[in-house]
Amino acid sequence: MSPTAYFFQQFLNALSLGSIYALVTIGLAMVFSILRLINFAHGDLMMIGSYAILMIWDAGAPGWVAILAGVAISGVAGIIMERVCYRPLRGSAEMTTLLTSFAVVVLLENGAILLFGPNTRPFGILNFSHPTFSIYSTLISKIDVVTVILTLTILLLTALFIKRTTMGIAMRAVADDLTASHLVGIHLNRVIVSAFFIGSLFAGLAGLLWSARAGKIYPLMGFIPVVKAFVAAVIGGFGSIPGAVIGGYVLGFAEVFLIALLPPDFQGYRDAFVFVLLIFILLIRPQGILGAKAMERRI
Amino acid sequence: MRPERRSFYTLAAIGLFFLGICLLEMYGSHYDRRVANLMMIYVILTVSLNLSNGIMGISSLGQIGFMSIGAYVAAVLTLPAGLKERWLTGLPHWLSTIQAGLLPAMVLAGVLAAVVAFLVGIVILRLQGVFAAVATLGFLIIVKVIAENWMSVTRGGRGISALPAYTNLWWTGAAALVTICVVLRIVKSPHGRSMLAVREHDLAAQSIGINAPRIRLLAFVVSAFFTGIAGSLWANLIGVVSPGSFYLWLTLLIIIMMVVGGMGSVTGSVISAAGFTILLELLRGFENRIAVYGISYILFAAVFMLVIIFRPDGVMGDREFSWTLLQRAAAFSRRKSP
Repeated sequence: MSPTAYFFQQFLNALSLGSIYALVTIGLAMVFSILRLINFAHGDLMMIGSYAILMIWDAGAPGWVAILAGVAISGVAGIIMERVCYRPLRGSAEMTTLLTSFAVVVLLENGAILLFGPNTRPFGILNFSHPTFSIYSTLISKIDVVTVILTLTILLLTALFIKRTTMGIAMRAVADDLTASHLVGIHLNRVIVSAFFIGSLFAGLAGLLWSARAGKIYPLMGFIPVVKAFVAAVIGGFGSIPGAVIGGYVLGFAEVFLIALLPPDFQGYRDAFVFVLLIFILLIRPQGILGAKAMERRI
Repeated sequence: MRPERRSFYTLAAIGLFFLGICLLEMYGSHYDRRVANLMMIYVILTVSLNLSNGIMGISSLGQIGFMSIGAYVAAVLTLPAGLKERWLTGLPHWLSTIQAGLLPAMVLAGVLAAVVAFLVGIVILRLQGVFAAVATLGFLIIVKVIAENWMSVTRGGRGISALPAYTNLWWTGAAALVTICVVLRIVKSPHGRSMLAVREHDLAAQSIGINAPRIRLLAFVVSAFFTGIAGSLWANLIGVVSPGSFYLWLTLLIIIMMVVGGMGSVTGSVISAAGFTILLELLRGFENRIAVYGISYILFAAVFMLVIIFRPDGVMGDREFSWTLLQRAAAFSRRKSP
């Protein structure tokens, strides 16, 4: 393969991985910007969505029904999670909710192990009959193309939603000042539930794309993506939605080219490099790439 | 109560504690001793986590990373020399031909964990709140990734097995006692008061001349030291160290123990660590009987969420046990009963 083709292939690969990270990160950032909650269990919504899709598909439903239903289930699971786990804690310290979300992770992952068993299962639902095609000797897998196009469409729609619709404006208001927006009559619960719902739908979709890329699912699949999405959120400036998208793509590119450049002996260490990157960004530019003002110090 | 009376009671309690250890070592079954050992290790872990997270208020999720470091240091030191040469090909010659005892392994495990905590702490402790939490979680993941991939020293995912079973109750009991005493001394010292001040109000504490970064680093390093020691005791108790042992579940477990006991209360940590160890063993027996595994995880996580919603201060809040308190409680109950 020519170096150009190789580069192009890796480029597409990075674009597709970055798209998935962007989808996960948006949900994380939406909830964080409103509630100051880092929801580690966000990744488990990916897992729930993927398992739901597989279950429905195995039951004999056509692929598109399974996908729609699975993503919807993931969205509903997000709403339930908010209602059961996080609403009773509204107003408590950031650390309390963070630790709770950590407990939710253990709860959901072990629940999944109990229900579905600890083993990896093949995930072949987006397995097109010809998974790859080639243009000018560049091998392109269809799932990458689907991922990129789907994500870009969703990103566009999200931007419109946040800019134009009443709910989107309400979300921005609540993110800006929770108490003040409550005072002017915005229904907090409605806004928070919508943020969770949209974020969880995206997580379900990201779960589908992630699982289709990997070709397998397992109960603990959600944890590393969500922690990486946090890295992406930090890169982009925490809580900012455009930042989340940029952060997701930066992380996708950084990771893919790290893999391409690292000698084979060090391949296993790539997650370690990602988190070293996180710690350094937090130190050097804690406000992220897009964050204009430094994080204020509350007195 | 007079001070000499208090110290008499304290010494008597320590005496009783060692008598209990002596009895367990002589008459306890293998299983009893194992549970008691685990209990002591969890006490060390929870009390030292409480120093950094509860008393100092650092939101660290990476504590178990230090335990992992301690456990691997102990494993590399105490593995029989023959196995070392076969499995751990990356070790320098002088290290692969010796087999250390438990005491040097413990000390080195603690010191190395503390050194790593010092280096990591300089960087990470500049962050606060949730950012510190995720950065420390990143540290935990980094430690795990290294343990999984540094084949020539950690043997990767297979882990290092066949470690000598050096750990007994004398070691774990003494280590737990030392941890508790040191942490209590720190809390009552000027350093401990500074920690509480920084936790409550960083800026106000700095404005009266407390060096907040230094005091944070101190709590972090001391906590990591004892956590590393707990790791070495664990390695030589269980006999196997593998990367998966020191990860999310153990992290959550000691957080649960700390929060349920009360963040900021050493007494609470001890009570809750002991209670949860027993609960964990009971549940494990139950799981084995019905052959469904993982219930204890789910139950613990649920208990944690209930506690955090309905009683966020835990059992003890930030109060500590004292003989005076006990005396008062006794007098109170005497007055109530006819």
